Amino acid sequence: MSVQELGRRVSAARAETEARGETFYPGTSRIHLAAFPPKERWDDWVELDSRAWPERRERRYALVPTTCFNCESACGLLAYVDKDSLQIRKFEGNPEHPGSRGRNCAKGPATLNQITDPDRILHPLKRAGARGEGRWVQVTWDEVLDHLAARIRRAIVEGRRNEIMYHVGRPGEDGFTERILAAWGIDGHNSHTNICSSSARAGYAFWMGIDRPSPDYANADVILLISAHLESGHYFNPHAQRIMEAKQKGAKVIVLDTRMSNTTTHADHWLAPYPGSEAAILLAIANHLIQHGRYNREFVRRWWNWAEYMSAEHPDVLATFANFEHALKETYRDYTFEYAAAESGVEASAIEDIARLVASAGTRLATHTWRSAGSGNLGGWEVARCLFMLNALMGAVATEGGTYPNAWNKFVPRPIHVPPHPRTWNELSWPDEYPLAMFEMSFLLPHLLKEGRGRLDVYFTRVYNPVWTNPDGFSWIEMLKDESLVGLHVALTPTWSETAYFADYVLPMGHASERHDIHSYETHTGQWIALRQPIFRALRERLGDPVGDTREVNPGEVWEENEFWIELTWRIDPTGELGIRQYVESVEIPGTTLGLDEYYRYIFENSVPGLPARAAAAGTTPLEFMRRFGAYEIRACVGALHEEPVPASELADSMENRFGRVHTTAPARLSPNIVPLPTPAPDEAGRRPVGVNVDGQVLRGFPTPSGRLEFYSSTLAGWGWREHAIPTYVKSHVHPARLADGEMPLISTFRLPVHIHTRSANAKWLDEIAHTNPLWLHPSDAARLRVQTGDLVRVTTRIGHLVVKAWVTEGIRPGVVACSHHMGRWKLSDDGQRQMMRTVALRQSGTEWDLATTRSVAPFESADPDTRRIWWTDVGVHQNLAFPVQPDPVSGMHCWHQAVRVIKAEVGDRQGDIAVDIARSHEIFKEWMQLARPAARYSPDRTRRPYWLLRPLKPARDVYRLSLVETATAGAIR
Amino acid sequence: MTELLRALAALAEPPTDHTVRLAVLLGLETPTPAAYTDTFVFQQVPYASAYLNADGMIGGEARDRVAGFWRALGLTPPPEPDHLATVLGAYAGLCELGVTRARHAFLWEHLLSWLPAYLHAVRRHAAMPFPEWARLLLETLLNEVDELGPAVVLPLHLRNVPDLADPRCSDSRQIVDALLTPARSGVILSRADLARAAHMLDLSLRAGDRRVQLRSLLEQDAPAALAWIAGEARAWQAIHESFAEATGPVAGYWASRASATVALIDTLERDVREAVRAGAAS
Repeated sequence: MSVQELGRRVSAARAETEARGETFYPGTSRIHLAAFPPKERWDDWVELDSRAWPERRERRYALVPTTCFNCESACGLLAYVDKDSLQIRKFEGNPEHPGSRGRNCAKGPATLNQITDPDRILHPLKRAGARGEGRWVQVTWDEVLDHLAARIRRAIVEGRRNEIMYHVGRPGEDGFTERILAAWGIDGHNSHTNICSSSARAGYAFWMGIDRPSPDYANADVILLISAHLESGHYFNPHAQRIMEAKQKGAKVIVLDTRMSNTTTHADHWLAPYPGSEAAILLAIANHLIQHGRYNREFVRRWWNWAEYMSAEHPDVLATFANFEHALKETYRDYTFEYAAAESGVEASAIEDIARLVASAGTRLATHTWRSAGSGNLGGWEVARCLFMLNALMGAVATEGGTYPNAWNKFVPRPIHVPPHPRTWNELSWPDEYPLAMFEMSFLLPHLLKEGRGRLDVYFTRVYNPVWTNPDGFSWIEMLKDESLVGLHVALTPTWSETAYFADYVLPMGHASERHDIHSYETHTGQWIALRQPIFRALRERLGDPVGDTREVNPGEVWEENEFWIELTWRIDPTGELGIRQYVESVEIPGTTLGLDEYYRYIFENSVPGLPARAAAAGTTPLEFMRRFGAYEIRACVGALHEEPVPASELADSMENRFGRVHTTAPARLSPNIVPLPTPAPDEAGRRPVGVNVDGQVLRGFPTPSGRLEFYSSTLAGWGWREHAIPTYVKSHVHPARLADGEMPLISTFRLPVHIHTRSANAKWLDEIAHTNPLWLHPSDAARLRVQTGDLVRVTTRIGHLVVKAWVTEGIRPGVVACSHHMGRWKLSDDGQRQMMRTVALRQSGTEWDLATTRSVAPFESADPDTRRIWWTDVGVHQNLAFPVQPDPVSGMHCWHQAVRVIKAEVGDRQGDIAVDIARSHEIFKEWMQLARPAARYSPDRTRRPYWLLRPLKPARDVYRLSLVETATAGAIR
Repeated sequence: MTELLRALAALAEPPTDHTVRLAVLLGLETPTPAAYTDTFVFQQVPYASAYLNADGMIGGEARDRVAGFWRALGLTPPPEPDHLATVLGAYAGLCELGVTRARHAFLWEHLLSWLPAYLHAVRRHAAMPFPEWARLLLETLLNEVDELGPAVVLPLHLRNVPDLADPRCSDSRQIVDALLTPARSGVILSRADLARAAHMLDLSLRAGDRRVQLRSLLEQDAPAALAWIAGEARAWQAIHESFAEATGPVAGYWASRASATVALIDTLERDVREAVRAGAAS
């Protein structure tokens, strides 16, 4: 048959097929997703067994969705459960997940390594000897729960609520544990935020109230990234795939990173600035836009709080927009390309090139910073603030291709019980010195306890490893070993960690396929939720065999965390007399604990718009739908919510202040979405803020005091930081002018794409790819030091030193050194994780501590034959031990960059050695505390903290008053 | 012809119930997942960039040129704009739009610049039904030439592609990369080709990518491996020349590259044999 005849035959067949209403061509977009099993076949999916090759042996799988528990992205996973052996054979992507869209990074599939880890903790353990001695006995969950409940109840009854603290690393379900703590009536939430993202949050929050950015990468024309978002960003996989989509459509990518990363290699423009100079570059770009009139004047006029700025800072000038523009030009005129070049070491012409590119982006400018420069430097919060200023200038805020406030692209469904705000303030997490911190000053805890500011009776570390992750780890060890400071330390963890060795109880928590959490993240312009779930519980329910307690199906006695908290809460108040039990009680069967099926059923049926109808269309219930498919997209392309008019019904008895902020007495709408939002203050008459008058129309605006984007922060000005009331450049503590002769900045914050903090140390596929962290050293510095790749160097910080191998590379600026996160893991005995944790000796002599390797990692026999194939011995250096705490006085962020001296290693130095004097670290803590501006002295309204700012667990409003807190503290001491 | 192109495009994607029906409609054997994987994943990846880039890699400048064509038409390029199924689908779309100039440009720039050689390679090695699919597709495309006319200039991809580097004057590793870069060598060497070479020359075939395998063959017995490569290049030169009437300057380009490869490899083989002889004598 000729090709013409064949063509006619296909045409006729197509016409006939489509006339029946059926699809003829599957469509070329299938190229990617065709690899995924169609969801209608997830109950019985057949694949060939790769291990049986060349024999063609079929294996039958049930495919059950969950979400990854490694980084915060919460990407979708599909567990392939072998229907014969009922074992999970692999994890792949879940194509139904709107954020990750079926794709995963290496850490997702490596969940299999984590759940089959031969060294994992499978039973509750209680210490048998002294803390840190390494002797354990297995105990029952009942024994643990009864002990904890009694101790916590006693603290609550005796008015020692501030002695209970929960310290979280990897977040679980949005708001779940905060609600548990609120039910207990304690201000006991502590997080890792101040060693992670406080500065970025502060920079964003002072602009738009909301503390996270949500770039619409996929639709951007210009993408400006501070650091390595393509390979290790906060929402790495979902963001990376959208950045690449934009690149394929022609978007230009600009990256600022002192270090060469995979992201810089994909950039159209890569600038490698001196660490801490990023804000100077960003302000030079802003200045270019301002001086050349390349900004979006209409957006600035409508949405910046320029009138408030003029009133505060230029009261003698008529507050017109023209006068503001003039003031703006004058204010930023000195931020020239030449100035930025002098600060950053980047050529002025290169900065000018990217300024022109930014100017060309219009409203399609997507920008992002999270940790990196913000987390490294004193004043790092100004990096995020200056970066977002570019969006604010271009009007690229909540536009297609622009950057959104994250809360608009996130959905936290309202649960069945919501306890009230606790009526206490915990000064160990929220000390007076840091009223603007974002958020808890967690990394100062050992120093605050050392100063006698309190004690902890029950301290939970939950999937968190502060001994390793936080700076100044020896001070953490000293604190944890002192039972007068920490009465009981409970480590909730799926893996052994340096912190767990100093616990009284080590309680096994689940990995991605062994626990519940609802998640929603700002991966793109849309709102979605995903369900992390215990795979075998979901499978048993699918097979008609419901499970009441997840421990029935998890390995060993590994527990589902939400059930643990519900059960513990119940036992604290078994009769309900403390008013606590009601928040974990079943509504369907009063007098019994709230089961997770009821908990999630309520949420999915009542708080997720559209899900019940979607489930009904699929012939199932909302809970079954989520258990079966794992994710649901509530809304795509959210749009500019700040531009939405406020309906007249919400404007009853409304009043408008002189800057257009509108307040109302109409009650707020009860939203099913309880995503955390700032709470701007009511007016003097108690009316709540509802919108802002823009050109005669009341629009929803932003959740800031002014309702607009706050170029001028009355909060900063009012709380003692008037010099930072508008975006500025703060010279870092590692600025060249602040370094002594011979000192260099050390960048220690960068992550590797295949590891997740400290929980992947026994993930063999990941370990084989990355297991050590040499010191990046430029060839010119290496020549000066007479060091070659592989030579040992000694890196001296202000409290001690570390010994590490050098890696000579052009991938770092001259005069700067770098050493990655994740590595240098250790254990105190040969028990515990053995793939990437060496055994060490810890020695203490007065205030001097040191750590030295006694046994490196080596192959070993286990149920997994791969453990016989461990070929590496060098697992790097635990550099954070040698870093003092360096709290930023505004954001509270630990400023990670270190001023160090690098020399060739001395005789006797060995790879991984650490030596520190913690007396010196306490002195440096005090030096940095001198920079703070305490609430007691600077608060404009006698409160501890601006009430409107976000706080993970917000106490009742009257507890914010300084006098009340002082009274409560005095009462507790009595 | 539009529908035929779309149907043939769909067959370059992983087999499903849809593609099985299309194969039946075209009188082809049913495509199996195994045949598809061996053909398009292991032997001849269906991306234009792999055959047109100066480094033989998927993506890069060649892919961006295809994406640029979409953008020039005011369309958003798909995620993999140079995938064979995508370019054929795009071309079918142009046929429907009746934009003759754009269609002519696309045909010569993004289809006939690489597909004659590619489809020949598929016909040589693939499992059924893909050899017959390749024959049908080539015939269909050559029909388009009859309708739209010959190439006016050499496609942009094929201008300024660097020559094979002489390893005697440069890094010897570069010759392996260049030989596996069709746009430079004029030769398409698949994994099956290298396995065949190892078998013929009685050498071991290393596990690894094609670069590892080819380098290993050269390390084990350089004269024999070079002679085999020269033979392959001669065969490819003849294949390209057979398209001269249909594709004019494009065929000329590919044939000249294969011819230059023959000349260089012959010289190298001679030098190596002399060096071996000299070594044996000393």
